[in-house]
Formats: sequence, structure tokens, C-alpha cells
Amino acid sequence: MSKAPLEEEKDLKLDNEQADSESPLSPKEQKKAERKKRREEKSKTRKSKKPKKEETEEERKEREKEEEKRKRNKPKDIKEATKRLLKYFARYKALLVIVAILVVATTVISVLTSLAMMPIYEALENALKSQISGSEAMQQIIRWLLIMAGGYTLSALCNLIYTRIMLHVSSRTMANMRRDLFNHLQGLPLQYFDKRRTGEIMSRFTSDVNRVSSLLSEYFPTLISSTIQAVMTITIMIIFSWKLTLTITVAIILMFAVVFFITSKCSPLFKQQQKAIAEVNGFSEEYIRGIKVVKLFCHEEKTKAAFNELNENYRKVGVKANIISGFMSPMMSMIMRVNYAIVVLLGAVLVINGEMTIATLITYLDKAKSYASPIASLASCYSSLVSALAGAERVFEVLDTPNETDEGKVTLVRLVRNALGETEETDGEQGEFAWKVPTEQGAEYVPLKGNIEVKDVTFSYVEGTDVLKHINVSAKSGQKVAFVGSTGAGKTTITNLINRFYEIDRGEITYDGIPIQDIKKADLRHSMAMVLQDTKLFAGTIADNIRYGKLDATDEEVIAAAKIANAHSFIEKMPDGYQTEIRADAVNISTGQAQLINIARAAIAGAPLLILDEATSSVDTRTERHIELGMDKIMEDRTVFVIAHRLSTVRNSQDIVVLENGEIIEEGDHQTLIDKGGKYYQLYTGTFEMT
Amino acid sequence: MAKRFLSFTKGYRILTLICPIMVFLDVIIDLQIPEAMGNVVDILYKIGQEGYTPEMIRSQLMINLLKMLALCAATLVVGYIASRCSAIASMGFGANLRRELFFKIQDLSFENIDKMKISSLITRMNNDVSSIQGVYSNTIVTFIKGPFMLITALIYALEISRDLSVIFAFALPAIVIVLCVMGIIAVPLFKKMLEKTDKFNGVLRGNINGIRVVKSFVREEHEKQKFDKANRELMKMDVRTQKIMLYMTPIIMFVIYGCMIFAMWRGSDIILMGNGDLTPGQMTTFVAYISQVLSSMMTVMLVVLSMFMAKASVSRIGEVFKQEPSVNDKEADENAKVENAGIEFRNVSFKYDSAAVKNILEDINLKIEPGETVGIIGGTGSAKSTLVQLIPRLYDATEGEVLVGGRNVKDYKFENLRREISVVLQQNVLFSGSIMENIRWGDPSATDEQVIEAAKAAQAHEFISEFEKGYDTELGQGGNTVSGGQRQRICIARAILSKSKIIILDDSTSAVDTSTDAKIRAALRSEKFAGTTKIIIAQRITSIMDADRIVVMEDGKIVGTGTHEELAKNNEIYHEIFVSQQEGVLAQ
Repeated sequence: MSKAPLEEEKDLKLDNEQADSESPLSPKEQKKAERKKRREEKSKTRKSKKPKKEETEEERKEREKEEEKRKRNKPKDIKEATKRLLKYFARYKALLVIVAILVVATTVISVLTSLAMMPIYEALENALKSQISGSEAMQQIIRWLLIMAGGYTLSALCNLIYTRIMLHVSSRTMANMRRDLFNHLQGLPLQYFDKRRTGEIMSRFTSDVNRVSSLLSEYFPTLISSTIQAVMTITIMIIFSWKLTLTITVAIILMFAVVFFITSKCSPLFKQQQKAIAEVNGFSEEYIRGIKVVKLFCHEEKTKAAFNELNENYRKVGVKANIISGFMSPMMSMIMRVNYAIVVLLGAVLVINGEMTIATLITYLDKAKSYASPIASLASCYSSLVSALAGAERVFEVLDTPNETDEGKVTLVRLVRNALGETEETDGEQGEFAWKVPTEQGAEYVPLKGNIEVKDVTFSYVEGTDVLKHINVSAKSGQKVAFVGSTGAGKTTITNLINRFYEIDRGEITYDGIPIQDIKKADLRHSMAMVLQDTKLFAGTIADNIRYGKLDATDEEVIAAAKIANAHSFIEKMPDGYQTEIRADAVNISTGQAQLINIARAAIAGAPLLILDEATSSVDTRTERHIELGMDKIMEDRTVFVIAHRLSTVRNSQDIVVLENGEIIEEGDHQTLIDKGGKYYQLYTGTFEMT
Repeated sequence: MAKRFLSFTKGYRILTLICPIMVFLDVIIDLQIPEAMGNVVDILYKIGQEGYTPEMIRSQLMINLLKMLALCAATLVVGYIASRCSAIASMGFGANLRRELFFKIQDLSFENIDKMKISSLITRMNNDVSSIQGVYSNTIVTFIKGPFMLITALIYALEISRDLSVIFAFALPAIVIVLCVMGIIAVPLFKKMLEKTDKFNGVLRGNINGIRVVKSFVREEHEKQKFDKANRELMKMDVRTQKIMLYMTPIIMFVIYGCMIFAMWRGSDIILMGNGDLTPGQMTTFVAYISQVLSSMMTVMLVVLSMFMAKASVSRIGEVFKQEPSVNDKEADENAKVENAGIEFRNVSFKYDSAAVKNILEDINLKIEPGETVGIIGGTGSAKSTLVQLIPRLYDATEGEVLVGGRNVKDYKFENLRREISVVLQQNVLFSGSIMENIRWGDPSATDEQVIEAAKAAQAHEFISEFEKGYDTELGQGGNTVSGGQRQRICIARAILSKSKIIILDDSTSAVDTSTDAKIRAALRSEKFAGTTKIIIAQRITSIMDADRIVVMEDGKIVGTGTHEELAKNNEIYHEIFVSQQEGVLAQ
């Protein structure tokens, strides 16, 4: 249950972002808008911290539509995006210039070569009119045919070379871009991920990078070749006969206008079709998900009837829309054919009037056939180009997102006593943990105890709405501190602040007396092991997953950790034991088992501070008890934070903090709180329902 | 399989057949155009030759103009008929397929559904059907044009000149060989490429989903290395695959231009021999046919390719159709009705997968009297839910038998059996529609008063009344607009309304607070439910403490039965669960 609001939270923020990205503003306004957006985004986070579930089906559809729009969206600033992209390609400048030259060569050669047709037909005409002898004509013809063969071969060769170079450039650019993206992603603050859905971030790596790559490998050459081809073809046509060219241009424009008019009339039909299929898909998804209930209540026949109605509706709407869309292609070919007929006949008239030779007409016809195609490809190239630039812009947006801040200088070290009785740092696994605090004289060592002081901390994901208000908590080494409260009360937020997933707004958190922002982030996090709410495991074996807590752990250590987490017995029962592959969707193990593996992963890390965030929510109470006993042993002298919904989980904590709406409303151990008869008592005795 | 898919064209077969005919006509029209042009050229060559007056030439030109315009008009007519027929036929085919698939899924047994996975069924339903429909409509119009064009253009070319057509004997096999060789090399590469892409996406998705884990264990560098490897492999594979495809365009262009040059060389030779075997106009027509023939070869290849792509969707859907409901009521007695609410498990063993070594339920013997309230408790994976799912035959026992009302559950028709058993499942599913509609699932003929009464018993009436629209409040897809505890209570109301002889609550009050939980149980204990057998599965011991009998399960076996007091005293596991939950309460 705790997962749902989180997802919605992301969706909401996504909406916000989309709305903003579509506004065409000047750069200055844009910056302002961006600042505003950031503020708004923050406030959204805040609001949605409370479980918000009002999103209805229509809203979801609406949002998906928006998303769809965004995908095809135009870049905010074409110039800027182009500039940055060019910078990205700069290292391949020389190769790109060579490609451009080869593209020009290919196009020019092939257009010019096609002109060789003219002298061939001229020679034929002359021979037929007996102006030259047959053998003389044949000689001329063979000469021109050889030139043609040479030209086409040359142009095919150029084509081959430039596409090969382009493959080299584009594949490397893609790989580099993906690598840069990923490396940057690793440094981004958690906020970034919380605000976005996985699919959205993934699409930066897949569709957006692919768009940029096709920009290089397809659109760049097409742009050059189509332009040259169009210009050359039209020039040649005008030279051959400007009258003919003018006529067909006018005819084509007229006919395209008609087509455009008809299609624009039909767009509501397509919207209807979209809506109808969405209804069908939505229905089938809902009723397939709920199929067990359908069967239990013997509702199969009713469900089938309801489905059939939607299905028929889609069929009817779809037929209407498809008749029109199917009719588009015959319309286009009719236009091309009418155009052709006009050219042929007008050309014939010109030949009869002696304004044109037959050979010129034949060559002209050949050109007229292909004259629309470079223009059409330029048009489609433009829209793809724009969408590729939008993709590039989104990639740069990620790269421009500032990294997590980390000004901490205090590091985590391990100290051992050497033979002389002096303490010194060691790389090994032995020795006491200590904080190395740099001073003017060198460094000072503060032994790591695990004392956490949260002093008057106020925090908001977005300005104005505080998720935590004036929180004071102190945890000493060896203590177990528990946070309880409803979803959205701010329990997880406190731990998010302790490990600096988020930065506090006001107040201070100290770790063994050192303010946590002075500690290097990596070292701070090394000092604590976390078992998180979502039971995230990585694709790989179970052993790999446990080892994630300590990359160089031996098999024995892995098994020992699994035993502490009570995971050993079920792992052993798996077909391949510790080597069982966890599938990407983790379908082959239950949530409870995944939680046990998570706990083992944290146990193996051997960190002095442990945070358990709903770590055993899907484990039955008896198993939970066994885990607790195991953990207690290794967590002696260490600090433990526990967040739980289930009160039996937190009962034996020394300090139970009851949170509501970001405030501490009760604090004390189990007995004190029960005796007090307040909220905790109500929760415990069940007179109050936790949401 | 083909037969089954053919059956979906029912009602649209004639329209489907009209489409290729129209396409064929369109091809003929398409090929008339170069011919008309050739005619015009030939007419022009005759200018100034003896016996051809300007009037004759003009009238011949007029004939050709009219012919071409007529062809253009025909294009429109043929195109309209084709698009109309194909739209009706393909939408109809899609609708048939979609309907049959949905119906089939409705008829599957739970075992089938578990095996196929719900998310995968949804993909098949929503994506695969659309893609098959797309291929169907493309095939009957666009794709079929390729082969038609190839054959017809070839015939036309042969008619013009056999001598020149010799070139096709070389060019066609050459293109086929080139494409096949490329296909043979490229297909395995594409497969590998897909694998690498999957792996890449897997690494990426894992990282993004697990970013909290990555950050909290400070594993950024480790992740970068993992990603870099996948990224590099993907790039190398990409280059290897694309390298092959690079040669495609130049080679095809080479063949087409080669043919054109040959045709013009041989053609000029024949024309110049002057025995009228070939005219310059015919030669231009022939050259135009060359590119039509060869480029239609490419479309034929495209057809083959798209067929391959559709094949995956077809086989995925075929898989669903092939499923035989593993639990069915074909052999049941039409007239068997559940006479009383007694339940008995006799030597029941069960496993989900017949190939599995270990049984999920092992040798269960349990007799429940009509009207009894039985609580079932046990740890995660003790198979409590599995046990009760055998009662309404969501699954069939692998060994032994399950009896309801003194008869084997297999003797009853599904409807007769399930009407008397209300199960509130662990995953509480509601459907979009109002709360009223959802509760009424239990009994479609219930009056509003009866619905409200059921809601009251389920302790749902109070919160429903607090909603602005009360019972008319719309629930979103999956009932997501109400909280977990509220959803559970609506589901219980739905089950209560059906007035079944047996009510099974499978951990269905976990999100409800204990006092409300107690009220629901109190309502179920009332006079009205005296004859109803109640089975309550719970994690929380307070939910079952007051049952007539409690069954303790562990690892698929019953390890104890008795009242709360007896079990707390004698059963170690029960005692342990009790202690783990009650320590604090006892202390006070």
C-alpha cells in the first residue's frame, strides 16, 4: 500500500512538467518559468506526500495523451539544441565533412548521369530520321551508356563509403551519449528519480538517443542529398521547359490542398477511434486483472456481453476512420498519375510545336517522375529532424541537471593499534571505525559510535508545506529507535535526511557530534546499511544480490548473512540454491522472500548503523521474531532505526517515536506509551485504523 | 492454428477477397501509364514521317490523353472500393479475434491463468491483437501489391520484347540471392542484437529502479562498470549488424541501373536494325518496367519480413487458444445442488505444477460442520490460501477429494457450486462503476435495501455514507479510489450479499482496524448467518481467536486444531505466533 502513493506522486509531477515544456517562451521568460516550475514541482511533491488517490481513469488517459504529445514535442530552442549537438559531434568533425562531400558527390553524379539518357534518344531519333547511320548512332549510344555505367558505379561506391563512415560515427556517438547519460545519472539526487517514472528515464537512453543517432546516420545525409537533388532536378526541368514545370507545379499544389482539406476534416474520426480502442483495452485490462473475482461470482457471461459492446463500438468507429485513411494512398497516386498525364500531353504538344525535342521530353519525363520525391523526403526529414532535436534537448536536460551536492570533508576510516601502541589507519577489515576530521594541523580522529542527534529539523519537499516540523530525536549506540505513524506521516523522510538522500531545510543532524553535511556522502552512506521499503533486487543470482552489500564477500559470509536474515532455509530449497537467478521482475520469489534477501544484503555490509524501513512488512510475525533475534546479536553496540506499520515489529525498541503529519506526538518505550493511553495505545489496541 | 485464424474472417470473407482484386486492377492501371507514355513517344517519332498528317497525330494524342485521364479516374474508384472493403474486413477480423480471445480468457481456469500470467495475457489481448490486425489489413492491400506488380510487370515486359526480358532471368535471381544471403547473415545477428538490447535495458532498468539501493550502498562505480560493459556490447553488435545492411542499397541500385543500361544497349541495337521489333517508345516503357519489377521484389521481401514479425504475435495468441481449461465442469451433474454447508477434505494433497517434486499441501484431512466458524492461521508460505481455494474449485486437488455438502466438488456445475461459496480473496479486486454496482455483483437482483444491509454487516455503510455521492460513488479502475481497508470492506459486503452457504475470508481484513474487524465478525456470528459455514484466514491472531475451531498450518500441513485456549496451551507454533503478537497486551 505504501507504494501506490509514491507512484502517483511521480505521475503528478510529470504532469506538471509537461504543461511547462509546451509553453513557447523566450529564453528569459523560460528561465523564470523554470524557476517557477521547480517551485511548483516541489509543492506537488509535498502535497502528494499525503496519500492521494483521486486520479480517475479519464485523468490517466488525459495524462497519457499529454505524454504522447510530449514525445512528439518540438524542441524549446532549436538553435541552442543544434549548437550543443554540434559540440557533441565536434570530435568527428573531419569525418562528417568527408561524409558531406561524399553525399554531395553521390547526388551530383547520379543526377548528371541520368541526363545521359538524352543524347541516347537523340542518337536514336537522328538515326531513325536517317540523319546519321545506324552504326554511327550505336557508337554514340554505347559511349553514353558506358559513361552512365561509370557514373552510377561511382555514385554507388560513394554511397557505400559514406554510410560506412556514418555508421562508425553514429554508433560511437550513441554509445558515448548513453555512457555520459548513465554516469551523470549516478550522481543525480534522489529527487530526480522520485519525480520521474522509470520508463521516462529509460526513454532518454533508448528512443531519444536513437533519435539523435538517426539524425546523424539518416537525416544529415538525406538533408544534403535531397536538397541538392531537388534544386538540380527543378533547375534541369526549368531549363528544359519552364512552361511545363510551371504547369505541373501549380497542378500539384492544388491537388495537395484538396487532400489536406479532406484529411483535416477527418481528424475527429481518428480521435474517436483512439478513444474507442482505449476503452476496449482499458476494459480488457481491468477484467483480466480481476478475472478471479469474475469467475468466483460467475460473472463470465455478463463480462463477455459488456466487452462485446465496446468491441463492436470500436469496430464501427474504426471502419469509418480506416476507410478514409485507406483512401489517402489512392488519392496520392491519382495525383501523381494526373500530373504525369498532363506532362506527357503538354510535352507532346511542345514537341509538335517544335519547342522541344523528343529526347528532351523523355529525359524530362524521367525527371518529372522523381521531382516530387526529394521534396517529400525533405518535408518528412524536417519533422523527424525537429523531433530528433527535441530528443537531443531532453538528453541535454538530463546532463544539465545538477549533481548531488557534496562538500563533506570528513571521511570514514578504520583504526588499528600498531606495535608501538599508536593508532593508525588501515585498509583492512579489522579495526575500529572512526571519522577522520581534517583540521589545520592535519587530522583528528573521532571514534564512530553511532550517536545520531536530530535537532529541531524542519523539512519540506517543496517550500511552504513542511513534511517534518521541528523534529528532535536522539539515538545512542546500541539503541533501537522506532518510528511509527500513518502513511505520509514523515517516517521515511527522517531516514531520507539521515543518509542525505535529501538535504534538510532547517535544523541540524549530527553523527557522533559531526554535522552530517560535513561528512563525505559516500562515507556517510558506507557507515549505514539500509533495508528499504521497496524490495528491490537486481537481475543476477541470489548470492550476487546478497553480495551487493559487500562486493568481495566470501560464500561463507553470504551464507552467514542469509542465516541472520532467516533466508538460508528458503534459499536452500530453491532449485539452484544460492545460484538461483532472480528474474528481472523477481517473479520467482515472493515479496516476503525478497525482503529477507534485502535484510541479508544489509547484514553483510557490516555497517555500524542500520536503518530498517518497513523491512519485514510482508514477513509473518513469527519469522520476523526470528530475524529480530538474529539481528539483535550483530547489532549489539550499534544504532538501529526501525520504521514499521506493524506495531509488533517495533515493540521492543528503546524509543518509539509516534509521528503524525510531520510532528512527533508521542515518544517513549512500549510500556510508557501503553500506560499513557494515547495514540499509540489506540493504534496498538486497534481502535484506530492506520492508513 | 491457421484454421482457427481463418475462422475469424467469418462474415468478411467476400470483402477480404475483393481487396486483392482491386489491388490487381490498380496494378494494371499503374502499368498502363508507362505504356501510354511509350505510345505518345512513338507517335511523336512519327512526326514528319510519310503518311502521318498532323490531324492524325493530334487525334492519336487526344485518344491517349483521354485514356490516361480515364485511368486516373479509375484509380480513384478502385482505390475507394479497396480502402472501404479493407477497412470493413480488417476491423471485422480484428473485432472477431479480440472477442474470441477475450471470451477464451474468460473461460480459462486459474491454473491456466497462473501459468500464462495476467500481465502477459493483457499484453496479448491489447498489443498482439492490434499488430495481427495491422498485418492483416496491410496484407490484403499494400503487401499483396508487390507480388502482383512483379508478375504483371514481368508479363508486360515479356510482351514488349523477349530479347530484352532476358535480363530478368539474371537480375531476379541475383536480387533474390543477395537478399537471401543478407537475410541468412543478418537474422542471427538481429537476434543477438535483440538479446544485447534486452540485457542493456535490464541493466538500466535495474539501476533506475534500485537507485536507492545503489546510493545507500555507495555502488555507483560498480554500476557504471556494469553499464559500460552492456553498452559496449550493444554498440559492437549494432555495428556488426548494420555493416551487413550497408551493402543492401548500393547492391540493389547497382542491379537496377545495370539492367537499365543493358536494356538500352540491346534495345537501341534492335531499334537500329530497323525491322520494327522494337520502337523507341517501347524501350522507354520497358525501362520504366524494370524499376517497377525490381522494386516490387523489395516489397515481396518486406511482406516476408512482416509475416515473420506477425508470426510471433500469432503464436502468442495461438498459445492462449490452445489452453484447455484444466479445471472444468463438463462431467458435472446438471442437477447437483449444494444441500448443506459442510466441507470435508479427505487425504488431500496438492501442487500447482504437476512436475514439482514437493507438494504444496500434504495429506490434509479436515471436516467442517455446517454453520461452524473455522479460523486458519500459519506463517507465510504455509499454504492456507491454497487450501481454501480448493473448495470453490479454483484449483483441483492433485490427490484425495474435497467434499461440499457431502458430495465431491467435481459433481457440481461451477455455477451451482460457486453460487454457494463466497470467497473474499487476498487481492481485493473491485471494478470501475459505482459502489452500489460493485456490491451488487454478489446478487444482481438485490434491492438497494439488501445492498445497504450487507454493507452494514461488513461495516462499510458508515464510510460509504460519508462519501459525497454515497453508494453512487464511482470507483476507478481496480477500485483504486478507496483506501485498502475500505476496499476490503466493500469486498466483504459483496460476498455477504450473495447469501452463500459458505463464506471464506482470506486474510481480507488485514487493513481494517481490529475493532472494526471484531464488529464484522460479530455480524457474521448473528442469527442470520447461523447456518453459514465461515472460514477465516488471518495473520492477526485476534481475528480468529473466537472461532469455534482454529486450524494451525505449517509448510502445507495441518499441525494442530482446537480452540484458542487449547492451542495456546498445547501447540508450540500457535503459542509462538500468539506471543509474538500479544506480548505487550499481556503485559498490561
